[in-house]
Amino acid sequence: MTGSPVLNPQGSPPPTPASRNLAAGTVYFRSDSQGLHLHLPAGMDWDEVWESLIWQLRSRKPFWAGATPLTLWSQDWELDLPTLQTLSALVSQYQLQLRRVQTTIRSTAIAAATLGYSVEQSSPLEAIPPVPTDTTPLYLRSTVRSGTAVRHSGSVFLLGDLNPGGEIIAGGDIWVWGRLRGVVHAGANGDEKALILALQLDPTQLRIADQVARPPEAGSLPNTPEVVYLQDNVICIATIQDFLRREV
Amino acid sequence: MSRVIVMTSGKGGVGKTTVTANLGTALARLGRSVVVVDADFGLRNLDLLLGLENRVVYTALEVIAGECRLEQALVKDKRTPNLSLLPAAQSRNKTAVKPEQMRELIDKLSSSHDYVLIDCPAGIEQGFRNAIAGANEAIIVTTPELAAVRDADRVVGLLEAAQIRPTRLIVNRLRPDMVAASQMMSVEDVVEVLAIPLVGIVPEDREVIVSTNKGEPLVLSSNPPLAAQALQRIARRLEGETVDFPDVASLGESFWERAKRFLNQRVI
Repeated sequence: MTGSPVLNPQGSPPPTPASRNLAAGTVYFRSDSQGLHLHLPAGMDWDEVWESLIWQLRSRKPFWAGATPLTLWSQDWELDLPTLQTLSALVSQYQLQLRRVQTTIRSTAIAAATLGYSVEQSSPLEAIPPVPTDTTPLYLRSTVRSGTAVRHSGSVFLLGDLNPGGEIIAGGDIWVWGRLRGVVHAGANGDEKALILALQLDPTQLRIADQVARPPEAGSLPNTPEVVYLQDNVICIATIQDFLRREV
Repeated sequence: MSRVIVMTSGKGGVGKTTVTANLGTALARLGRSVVVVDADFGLRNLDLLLGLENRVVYTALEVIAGECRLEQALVKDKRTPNLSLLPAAQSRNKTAVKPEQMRELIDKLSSSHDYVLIDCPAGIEQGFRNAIAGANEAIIVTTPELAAVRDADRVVGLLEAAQIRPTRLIVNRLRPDMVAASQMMSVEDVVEVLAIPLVGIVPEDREVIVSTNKGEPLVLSSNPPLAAQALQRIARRLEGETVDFPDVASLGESFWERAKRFLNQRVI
């Protein structure tokens, strides 16, 4: 049964343009030799930003070393002293040290300088919004619950469950070491080679590149890890054993 | 140190207010001083369920506005001496209060009570943010329905983000006969998705509607029905007692039904 299209493919392409910036609309971490960089997105409520930040800190914490320096890219967020202090206290709970703040807003720059962070102020016109097209894998250790959307331009590794109502959208592969029950979109930038792997596959919807599939109406779940891949523009599912045999 | 517990759900109509009123009463009858806070500004009904509507003079809004003292707004329940209610205002909308004001109010209440139970409005709007502002624990109430569980899952995520721990689960309005016939999600199904510790299972009970309309909490009745017994067990679990969960299948069964089931099992 290798490569049998178990799912019912749907004709319509996914509602998201393939080339969109995956990181838009979420708090975004990226790392380089200087440590971690935290990007605050525009066009969200501060409450939402805060929520997304805490979730990311909690679920990514196991994957960085103690006392990592952090640069905050706050763009045009107007952050006052108490907000910056709260933010600094929050990240320090997760072994991150706020060191630098980038901003286009004068009052944020003043607040950051007052607190003793090194400040990089750019004028709104010359500020090049950092486009985090980071293709290093994103490692998460958490439950992705209903209402949470994870977006990343590289592959996503999740240790935990993806609950119904939760979403993972990745430029690369999606690995779920747990139960996959929500919506996943692998190869969201158009990569047709992207894979979805799960210990237990019971999705709400599967998307690879610009193909969409939904699970069959009924049927019991095999108790074995499965791989979802794209073959001739059809989304197929195989058990891990069958998939590996096919690869060889 | 008192315990401030927010009672919440994603979906409306799962029985949050009923559970809050009864749990508050049950805890008060265990000898704790309890205040139940209606955080559902604009749509108050906790006072109705407790039968205290006609005794509400001031509400939390007047306290926040400085028009009365906190003690004046607290409505004492005559039947349950340790229980009081802080009512919400019906005439104003949900944005009339800010989270900081709510936090201040809850802090004052927690200094003089063992338990502060906050009845949170359904949904995740401003009212939800107000209600969780001063809380340090949460109880999620859900019915075993897909939509309710999905919304509860979202709320668990929000509570995690607000760093409120622990979050416990009450599965309300369970119908054991429907679970047995696979027509309803089982408690295990719900717990599997939400992945938070279970603190109680409350069976569906006609008596709940009767008691709601009378304004008399179920746990006060001399011959407490099954739902009331379940709520009393939840109160004891919150108090730190280890109370066994009764076999779900036997909830709501009469003696004869239970005997019949037992015999059937033996035959097979």
